[in-house]
Amino acid sequence: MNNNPKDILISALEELGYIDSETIIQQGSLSKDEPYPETFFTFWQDDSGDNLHLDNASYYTEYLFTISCYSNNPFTLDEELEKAIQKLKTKGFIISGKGRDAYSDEESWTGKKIKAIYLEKNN
Amino acid sequence: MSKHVMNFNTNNFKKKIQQLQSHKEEAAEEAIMVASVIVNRELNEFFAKGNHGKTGLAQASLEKNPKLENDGGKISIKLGFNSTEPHGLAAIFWTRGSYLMDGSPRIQPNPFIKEAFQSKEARKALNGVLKHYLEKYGNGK
Repeated sequence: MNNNPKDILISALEELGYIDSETIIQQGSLSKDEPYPETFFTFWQDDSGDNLHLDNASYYTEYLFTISCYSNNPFTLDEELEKAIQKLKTKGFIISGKGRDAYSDEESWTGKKIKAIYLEKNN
Repeated sequence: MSKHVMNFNTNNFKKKIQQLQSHKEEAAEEAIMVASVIVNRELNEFFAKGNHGKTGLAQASLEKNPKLENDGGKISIKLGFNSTEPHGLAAIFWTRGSYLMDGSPRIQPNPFIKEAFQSKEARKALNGVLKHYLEKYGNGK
């Protein structure tokens, strides 16, 4: 089993019916000519810092992700983001709040993003 | 002034500076000044790499000569974009969904402002100045 936080994030969204590289993509990876899928998620790893030090060694690695949801239906957007928040929480992600608006390149699409923290125990 | 404020986190600086017997203000002013020069340089480097430089107006609205402010012992320095000069162009960084910082499905995030304000080099310089003062005027000196 792969414990990479990014893989955990992707597999959590896959459990909601989204497909890796199609409806789960890295922020900025969609080319100019590619159309937006109806509803999809993007992710971006903002940081991975040390957290909690014991005996001169860091105990955790703290991963910080920005997860954005985009949809051409604003109701779906809120529902899907909420589902994702609940699912990610069960996988160990720490998420505060319900998100804020995210910039969309397409006029008909709206987006919302959340920050998620994942603590990985160091060996 | 822009409503969007980002602070430079100084960690234990406030606590450590209390260990100084004298020259507290002088140490704080010098440390903040040194760190601010590095943050400002990193902000400028983003444009020097050829980013967002079609007209040069965004870079021109960066504070050129940041001034230290001492408000009754509360020392601060304002860095970053002055959205009132020359045409408030820097507002594009913020008002349009801050897409440059957080990206969009078609634009990769480029959080250079955040990175400059979290600069390890600036924090190192800040602590370096403090260390120098602590050695000179710290407890037991």
